[in-house]
Amino acid sequence: MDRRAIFFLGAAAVSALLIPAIDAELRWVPTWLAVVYVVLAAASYLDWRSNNR
Amino acid sequence: MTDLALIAVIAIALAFDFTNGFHDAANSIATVVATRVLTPRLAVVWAAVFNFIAFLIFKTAVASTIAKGVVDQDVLSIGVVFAGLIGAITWNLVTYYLGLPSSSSHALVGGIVGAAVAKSGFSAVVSDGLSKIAVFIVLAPLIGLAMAFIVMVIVLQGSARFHNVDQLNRGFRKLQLVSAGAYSLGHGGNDAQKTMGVILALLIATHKVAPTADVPLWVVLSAHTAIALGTLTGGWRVTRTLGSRITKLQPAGGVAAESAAAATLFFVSAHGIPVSTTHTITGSIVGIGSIQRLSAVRWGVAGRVVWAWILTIPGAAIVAAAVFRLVHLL
Repeated sequence: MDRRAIFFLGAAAVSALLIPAIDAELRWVPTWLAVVYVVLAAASYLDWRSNNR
Repeated sequence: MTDLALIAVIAIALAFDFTNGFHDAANSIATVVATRVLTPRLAVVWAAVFNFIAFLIFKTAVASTIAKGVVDQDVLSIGVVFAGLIGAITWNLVTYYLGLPSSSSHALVGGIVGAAVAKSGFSAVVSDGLSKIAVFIVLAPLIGLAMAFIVMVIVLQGSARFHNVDQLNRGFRKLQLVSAGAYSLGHGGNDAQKTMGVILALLIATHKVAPTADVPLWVVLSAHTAIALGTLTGGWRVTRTLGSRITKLQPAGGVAAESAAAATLFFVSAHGIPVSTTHTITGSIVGIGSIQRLSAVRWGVAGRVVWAWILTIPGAAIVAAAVFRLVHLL
């Protein structure tokens, strides 16, 4: 199990949850951050899988 | 009498700025010291200089947020600001004594909110401004973490082409002086402005300046001087917590952590958002630690940091509200 990918997914979820809590002007910040963390989670999982083959 | 009280509370605000430097500013040098690029004494001087000259680079958007965007301006008075500052300073000293890297910035926001609520109830709070600050309590370290992680991956990929590891490390040690300077600029730009905001609020409340006025130059210079002097005189305990206890850092990691944290601080300062420099550099250091595996991060220490974050605003608010009530009883 790749704990780092899970951690990044958790960070993505937290970022996504904060999107409605912020002014429209700055809403892109948590949105992009959530996307970045999902990408990092996917990359981390692929890295973990290739190392554990 | 009012002028004397005003001068006294401005002096307390500058003392708070000094304790901010004492408590928070040393975070600027955590990684430089941890990687032994500079001795603690030299690193502190380096950080203080960049803390001071930050006023040449940043506008005063963060100061405006503190003065006008946290509590209703009609509620602000010398008594409210006094109680808020005492609440924040008390919280800073307690967490300093405990060696916890809590946030001076959030202590200040919590203190002012607590005193304003004690005076006029929860309607005194500007909910939009406070929610923006609250959201960035969480976002700032997450941004720092993600950026540090990405920068470190790029650095590691680039470094893989070099065969001379010693030469590479020497290069990163020199680069760390630049990244530490950039981080100290970002730190000075964000943190000194919180004191400027408090003094601006006082000047507006006592009708010394118009509600739409910018921060006077003497306020800017005195706030940067106070934080730089604070940096010069303290912060070593908190530096040790961040620099060496969260994860083991090499020069390349130090460069990545500081660059990511500096970029985060430059961004939030440009948008007028007061954030914790401690939160930001902690997130960045955790990002570096998690490059290899999550177990490289000492989560026990990181967990204590998170508890300090959660407790800071309510803790400082309760102390400030008690001080406000006490002052009114006397």
